[in-house]
Amino acid sequence: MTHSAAAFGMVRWGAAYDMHHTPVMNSQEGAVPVAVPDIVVRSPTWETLARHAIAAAQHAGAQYADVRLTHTLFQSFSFLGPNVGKSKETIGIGIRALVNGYWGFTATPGGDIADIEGLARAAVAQAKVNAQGPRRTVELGTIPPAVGHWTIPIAIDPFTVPIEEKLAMMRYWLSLRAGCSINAMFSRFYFVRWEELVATSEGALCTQTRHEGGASIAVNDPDLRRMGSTLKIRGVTPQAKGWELLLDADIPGQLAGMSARFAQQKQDEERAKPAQVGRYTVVCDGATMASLTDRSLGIATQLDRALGYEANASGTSFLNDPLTMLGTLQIGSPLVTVTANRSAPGQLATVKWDAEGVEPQDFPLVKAGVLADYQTTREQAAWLAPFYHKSGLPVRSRGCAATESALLIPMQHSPNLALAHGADDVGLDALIASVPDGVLIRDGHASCDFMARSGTLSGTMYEIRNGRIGRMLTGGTILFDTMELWKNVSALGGPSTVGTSATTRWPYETVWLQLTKEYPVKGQPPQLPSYTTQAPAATIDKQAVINLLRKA
Amino acid sequence: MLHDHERALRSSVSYGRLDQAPHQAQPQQRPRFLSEADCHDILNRLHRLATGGGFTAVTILSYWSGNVRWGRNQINTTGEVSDNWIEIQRMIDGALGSVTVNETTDAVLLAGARQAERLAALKPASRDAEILEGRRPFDLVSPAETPSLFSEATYQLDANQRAKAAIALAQRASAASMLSSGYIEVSAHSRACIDTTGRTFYDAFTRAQYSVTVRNPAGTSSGWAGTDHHDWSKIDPDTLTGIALDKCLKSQNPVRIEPGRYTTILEPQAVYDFVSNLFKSWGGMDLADNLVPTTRGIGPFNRDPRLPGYTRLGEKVIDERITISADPMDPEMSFPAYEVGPGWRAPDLFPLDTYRKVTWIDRGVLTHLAYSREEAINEHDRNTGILNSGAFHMTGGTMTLDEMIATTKRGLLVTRFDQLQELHFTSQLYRGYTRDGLWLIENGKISKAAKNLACTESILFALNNVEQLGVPKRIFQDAGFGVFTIPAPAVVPPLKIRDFSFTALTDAV
Repeated sequence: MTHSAAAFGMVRWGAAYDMHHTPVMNSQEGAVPVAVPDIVVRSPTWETLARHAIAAAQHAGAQYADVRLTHTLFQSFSFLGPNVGKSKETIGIGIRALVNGYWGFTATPGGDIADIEGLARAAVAQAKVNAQGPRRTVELGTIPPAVGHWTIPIAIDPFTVPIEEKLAMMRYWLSLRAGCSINAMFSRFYFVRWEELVATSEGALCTQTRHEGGASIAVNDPDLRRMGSTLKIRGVTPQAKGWELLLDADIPGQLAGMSARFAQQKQDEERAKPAQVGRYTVVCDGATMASLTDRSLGIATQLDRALGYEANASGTSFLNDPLTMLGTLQIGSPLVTVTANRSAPGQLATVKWDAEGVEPQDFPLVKAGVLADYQTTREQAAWLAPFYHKSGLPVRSRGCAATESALLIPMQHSPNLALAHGADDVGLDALIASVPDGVLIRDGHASCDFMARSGTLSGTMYEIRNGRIGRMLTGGTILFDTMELWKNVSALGGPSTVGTSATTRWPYETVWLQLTKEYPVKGQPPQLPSYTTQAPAATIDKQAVINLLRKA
Repeated sequence: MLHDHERALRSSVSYGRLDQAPHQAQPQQRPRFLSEADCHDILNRLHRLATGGGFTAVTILSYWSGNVRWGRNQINTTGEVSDNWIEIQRMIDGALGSVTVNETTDAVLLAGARQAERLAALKPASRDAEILEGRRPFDLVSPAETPSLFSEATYQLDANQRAKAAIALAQRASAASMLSSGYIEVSAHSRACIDTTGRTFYDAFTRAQYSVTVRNPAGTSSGWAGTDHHDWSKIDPDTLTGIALDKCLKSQNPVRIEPGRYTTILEPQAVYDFVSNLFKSWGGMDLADNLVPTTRGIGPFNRDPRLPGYTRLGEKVIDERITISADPMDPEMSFPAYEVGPGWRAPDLFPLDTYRKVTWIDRGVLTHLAYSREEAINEHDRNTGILNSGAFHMTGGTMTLDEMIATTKRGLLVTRFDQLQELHFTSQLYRGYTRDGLWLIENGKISKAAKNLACTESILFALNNVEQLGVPKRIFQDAGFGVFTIPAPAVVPPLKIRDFSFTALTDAV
């Protein structure tokens, strides 16, 4: 979700709850372990289950098999009253088997060794019946087997913070009256923790613990004549962080300084005028560029989309001839370099190993404006072998296999993306200062067609006159052609202008399916593992401003 | 006004098969989702494990699903999955604690019950609790108003049959040197709401879906077709594949059409893609949205945005040839009569709500707006709301699509829309793209395939500019997936609409 989803202010949030891990029965009573972790670490252990699953799949004839186990904890708090409600905890076991170039996949929540062995045999049986189809090969390449455990670095595991402390923190924030106050109805936060195991028939057996948390905290305008006008606390958009996400956001400090933001907003709105249709030089802030990067180049460089495997679902890509286009197609100005990573601290797709046990490395998708690579899994990497051979690169998965949980088949999903910032520390003001006549977009949100070929970009728009920010503009939207837009990037901001866009379904938990139009979901059934995109501010020349509310 | 059967139901504790004792089925006979006996067994075990008094309730959504998916004419992913949503509720001294898990072992249920009890202890008693403590019976309809939606043809479509179907369907595109990607999914779902006060509900249904996209290798054309049904044997994948292939083959050299207002024939799927936005969550049919403005403005059926509190109920809102209704027993589009579980409309204390036959718009006149049972109880002192399932049956005319084309001098024909996004709530203005088949009609004939266009149009404007209505047809509906599958089928006619607004070209195929 970038923030258009926040428009759905009427989402009825489950009330607050807690899943903290102190055993509920105290240890003197001792006999029955009821603490949450015991659900998964009880005997037989994960490792035992995984090894039996792999062995059973191999025995049944799998040429390759992998197994994933996931244990997902989710908790969410609403600021509306001490309203302790739901918590959610799920377990998944998923087995993928390969026979003669065809996959089989089975998954279930929990089970004993006999159940899991049966599940593995069913996955193999499925692969065998699929292999009645025309000859197909899957080349997985060789990777060093992943072994060990990794925990994403966070400061405070939110599932160890007692619920009393969370409620006390919320009451404290709600009680603050210096400056502005929190709108309890539209404020909430959530945390997710994944414990994951991946094992393969090639000897990999790794486990990792990952976290995600985020908040949407609305603040009331102190001007009572502007009832219903709210602004959001900054710095709490979804990140791979623990409880410190909320503590570090300095909510009291932000509340104290919020009056100035409201005064500015009020002044902007009073002086606003309708956007004039035409071609303009557009300056976008970092968050806007992050959304643009994600929804255009990010989506277009997914290899399964490019080759048509997603045609019946999320769509295709204008980068649809990879072997011809790679290394040659200029899709942006020389300033445009987009790198994929699953390593950046605090970002949502950061892992040690992907869903296939591959240790991802950072890699460029677009280098100096030229298409440089695609997002791939192990199977997909081989599809680009002629290009990699020609370029002297190893044929290796880019580590983009992911899955929301073991109950869904792993597929290629977006890693974290980063548009490289400018070399100098050019601030947003400096970008604006060099534009005689144009528009500025803040907190923008991009949306593309099903081929990522064209799209729209909207956000808070201001006119730029003689290098200075002028009046707010209403009703304006940029209508763009993806390649033309990226080719017209004429200046980039420096590191201080970098903004973030978080794509995650978790803030909406049970209602996310109804919002799928807002999300870049993939696959059938649909999936959306979380990821983060970062980008600096940028100047883009010659973009068309239209007014969507005015029909043809 | 209560129906007679409603009175009868209120007098009994519940409607359900309480007389059936939970039993332990043989492993090989067990269904692939939680059976009614399994659900009662879960509640019974929770009841034994509970401490601290009060009472216990569970809401269970369980499913099994098998799918096969292909791309570039070869099966590339596949799966057979089961999962559960087991919401454990412990109500103690009027305070509710609730924990959701997906496993059914004693260890998990015990941990869940303890956690729920701990949460209940932290929550003050509430008015919501009084409602539940009052053991208000579930709002259930009679068996005669409950469609049977479990199909053995769907449930028994195993991996081998799915694979064979996929291979044969992909072969058709392959034989024509085209590339197809398609998806077959069958699933079976059970739902239960049971508590220790004696209220009990259980039902089960199946769902099958097939959709296929055929593209030419050059990537200049694309055709799509699809449908869904609770009964796999009612789906004709071969005919659908033929439609998608035909659309692809005939649109390989599309021409650019200037954006503008066109007389536009929308195939039933396109009508559904567009009009269904009105019936989705936040779509404008909610009474509350039309009474009081929200952050999105006021709903489309408010009489005057400056005078909140007055709706357009009783007024003509669309073309008088159109009636839009929904009925779980509709033979052309039957759907489950209940909403169960954690949908955004069903909060904790109302795990079950009921869909009854409703006519939303009668010959163009707005006759009902939706409100939930919770709102009915809290605000209208009734036990029954008017719930919008998202399913709808829209009346049409007698014309065939061919006749509609033959009577068009110049216009466009749209297969379907994609990525429709709301621009303006009050006017129901949406922007989106045509996809998988757009055609130019000249002098009563399809003259050329056209490149896709972006449209910007209001649902209400379009439904007030209807020239012709065709024979209604059941369309493809994306019902979600997994435990949250909520079938909301629709039957809609093709429509010819005057001055439908297309605002931009796109080269997307």
